[in-house]
Amino acid sequence: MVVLHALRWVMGTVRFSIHGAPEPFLNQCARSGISLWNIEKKEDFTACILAGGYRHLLPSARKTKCVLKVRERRGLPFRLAFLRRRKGLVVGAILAFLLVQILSLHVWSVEVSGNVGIPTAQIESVASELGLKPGVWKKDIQAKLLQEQLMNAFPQTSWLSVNTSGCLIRIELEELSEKPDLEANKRACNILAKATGQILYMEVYAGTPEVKEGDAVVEGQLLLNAVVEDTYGGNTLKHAAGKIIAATQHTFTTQVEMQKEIAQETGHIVTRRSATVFGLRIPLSFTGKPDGTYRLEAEQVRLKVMDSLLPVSFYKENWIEEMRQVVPMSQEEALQKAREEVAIQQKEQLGDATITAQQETVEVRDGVLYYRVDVNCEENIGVESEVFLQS
Amino acid sequence: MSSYMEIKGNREVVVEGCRGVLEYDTDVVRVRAGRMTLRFTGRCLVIRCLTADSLVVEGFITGIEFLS
Repeated sequence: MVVLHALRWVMGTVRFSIHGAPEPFLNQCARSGISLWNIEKKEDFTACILAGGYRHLLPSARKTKCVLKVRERRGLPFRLAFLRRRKGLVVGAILAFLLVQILSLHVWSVEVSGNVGIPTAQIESVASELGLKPGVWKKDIQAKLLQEQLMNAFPQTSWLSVNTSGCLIRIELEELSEKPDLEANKRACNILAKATGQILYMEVYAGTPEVKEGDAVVEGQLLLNAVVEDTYGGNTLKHAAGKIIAATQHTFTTQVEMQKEIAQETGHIVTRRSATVFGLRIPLSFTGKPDGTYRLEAEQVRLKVMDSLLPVSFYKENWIEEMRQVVPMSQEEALQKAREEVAIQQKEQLGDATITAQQETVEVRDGVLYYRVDVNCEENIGVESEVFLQS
Repeated sequence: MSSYMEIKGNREVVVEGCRGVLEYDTDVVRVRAGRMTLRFTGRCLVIRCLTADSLVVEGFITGIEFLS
């Protein structure tokens, strides 16, 4: 019954009144195959018919000398009658519907998650080469094949999945954790000195000490022996381990030219803009790349709707003109630069050693600043050296 | 061909094989069914549906008469 009412509403119904002799009119309609319903008498004699069938009543009304009058119009055709004057609205609605249907068949964006060491841009670039990028047809995406290809391209992943969520493709992955080398602790090794110095403090965990506190040692000297003699005179090979803190001396030098090149902005800026829609780049300005010395600042903005990336992004380039000139550097500036370079060297070579004293020597000659630092430090000079056995 | 009538309580009557409406009012409906004439009396009678060979009468039916 509900379906019948819904169908009548969709097709439209008309309630009309019959003035004259209703019975012959009703019989004439029935014989003509015209279906009427809700025939009742209240103030007037009324009946209902489908909107499209009303014109077929007129011959029956003429034959039976009845006058028909429309009392009420109901249904979808009458509600949409205003659209006859707004054909553009209808065409626009149809086009919008088609556009959404067509766009929904394409990939809108690709999201990568779970990566720590592997840059997202690298994963997106490889995926793009394999055919997964905004703008491609969703039906062309073979998720399982892409998973295998991406895992082959990134062997440092433990698992990787490609999932489709509407028009968004998600690449989720987990990177491999490096397995610790447990075998290393089982191999026999000596502890040698990595630098020349005087031993201040020793902590021996395994192995036989060959030196003692206060001894002077040279680089490469054996500090802890892997061979351990037991109380019965037998020997075993161990993985020697320990902390050997010694006072050492190091020298760091560098030289800095006492002039620098500075870039001064002239104030002239060339801006270029473009938009990317479904992977297709559309230039929004027709200015070419400028000639000369320019610094580039670029910015890309990707449109989002409620945390979902859209396949539309805007790219802006600012080319800022610069004038480069060489100016002399003051001694303080040169010294500061030299100190920074030496600090980097110290960090690389000394690691977590403690510097107890240092002496700087500065000399300026022929426009070059020569900087030297002699440091005394306390550091762990023990370094493992594997013992290779001939079988 | 004889007509077929289905009565649902005193609220609805379906008549198949009817050949026309002879009289209609809110308290009486007369239809031709085959060689007979049927007369339904009652209150607030409405012809819910009318086709070439069937008819549905709804309302408070108080009487059904078979007139020849």
